[in-house]
Amino acid sequence: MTASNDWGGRNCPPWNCFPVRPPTNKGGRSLLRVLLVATLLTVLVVACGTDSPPTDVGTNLAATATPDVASQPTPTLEPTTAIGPSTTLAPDVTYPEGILPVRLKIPTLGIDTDTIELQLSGPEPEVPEDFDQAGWYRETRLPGEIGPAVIAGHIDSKSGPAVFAKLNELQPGDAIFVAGEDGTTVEFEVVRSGQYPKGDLPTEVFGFDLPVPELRLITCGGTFNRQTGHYDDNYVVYALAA
Amino acid sequence: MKRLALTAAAVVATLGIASPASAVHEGSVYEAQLWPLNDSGASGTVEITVSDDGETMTVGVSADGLNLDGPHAMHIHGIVDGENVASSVCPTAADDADGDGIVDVLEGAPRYGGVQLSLTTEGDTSPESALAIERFPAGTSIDYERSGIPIPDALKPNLGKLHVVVHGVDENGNGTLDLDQDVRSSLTPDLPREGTAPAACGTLAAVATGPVQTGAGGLATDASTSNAAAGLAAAAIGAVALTATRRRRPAGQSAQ
Ligand SMILES: [Cu+2]
Repeated sequence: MTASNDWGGRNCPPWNCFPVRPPTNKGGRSLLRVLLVATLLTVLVVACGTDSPPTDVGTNLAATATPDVASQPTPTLEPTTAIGPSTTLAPDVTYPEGILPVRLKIPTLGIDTDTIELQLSGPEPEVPEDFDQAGWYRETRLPGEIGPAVIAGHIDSKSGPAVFAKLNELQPGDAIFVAGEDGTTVEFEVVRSGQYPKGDLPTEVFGFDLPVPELRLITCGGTFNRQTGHYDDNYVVYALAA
Repeated sequence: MKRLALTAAAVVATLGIASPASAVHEGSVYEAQLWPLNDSGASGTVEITVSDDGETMTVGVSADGLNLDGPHAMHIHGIVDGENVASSVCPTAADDADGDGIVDVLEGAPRYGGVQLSLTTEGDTSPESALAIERFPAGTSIDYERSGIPIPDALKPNLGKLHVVVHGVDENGNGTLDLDQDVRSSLTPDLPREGTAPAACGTLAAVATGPVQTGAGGLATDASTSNAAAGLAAAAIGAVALTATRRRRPAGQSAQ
């Protein structure tokens, strides 16, 4: 039996490829403070549209944080078989909590739109009914949590451009803001993009890149197939916490 | 030091907390890539499919390259606090808090949390079976699939934040579980450290099982142009990321 890993062709686990310290927030749970520690956040944008082979031409930015060994607490259980669900973090290790997204802003593209909740599971993932809205997949992580939050939006309607029409114009370093229902905003920075044939989105699109908050935006790309009424590909933008 | 003294009563109390079952994750698929810990050499994949009624799941674990030809306790771990599950990542060698060269099962706990489910081959799958090593797969490779595993309510909306951990590492190069190893498991004196040290860990994520249909064709009057533009943009992003420089688009190109 052969087991394979396909994290973008890397031969190391995502969280080991770079010396990154997972965001820790000793003492308080202030989201702001957490975001200061989390220097990178990933955003993934998927688009549908071309007949080209999957492209993943990007690479990860090097992270500058260093491993934080000394601060690792040593939780100790009673020497018993009673290892259970309440075995949680030691008190001084916490992870950022994230926000329930209600608004998405991408200044360089002039995007400032509501975001709704969508369901990823099922024969066909939900997409927004409103072509000017974006939607966050509730099975993915909350923006601001460690790991990828995935947001989808249309590239076009039947009559013209939709909210993510210009997603492929995003450049590395471009800022993406996600606002939560509590008024908190999380900032992400574009890192790379990828294009994949529809229905064959790799695990990479949904899995970790780095142990930091990540964002991924999905729309369509490639050729529009007039037989099916759909684009052939999805286009994905990857971003990390800024 | 007993920062996290855990009693059987605490386990039961936590198990008793039931949050409202979510009706939105039925049929969901979650995947993880397994990566080695403690130089186990292991790699592999995990796929979880939630049943149509959302109450149970099928778990598949495929791994090979394990350096211990012995029992491999396997669990779903998570940092669970009532209804909340923290999004975290698997441990690394940096989590070897006492610096003895092995990330033992509890040194990894600040990353992957406690045992939420036991991926046994038969019988109970609760945390109570966490150390029932006679009911876990054994050998240097694992080809595990079990359906009908009940999903605790608190985990239903949060499967995509959990971890799959495969335990059992050969430390002395003889490839077998040394029951009389001097160093004992940090969980129980009944097992050697080799028996419970994590050999592989993977973080689950929800994946799409169908196409994301986010286009209706209104911009596709010239499909070839659309394709080329997308490809070029992807290439540009990659090139810039490689050099870690930040490119600003000319003002004239700014989006409206
Ligand atoms: Cu475990």
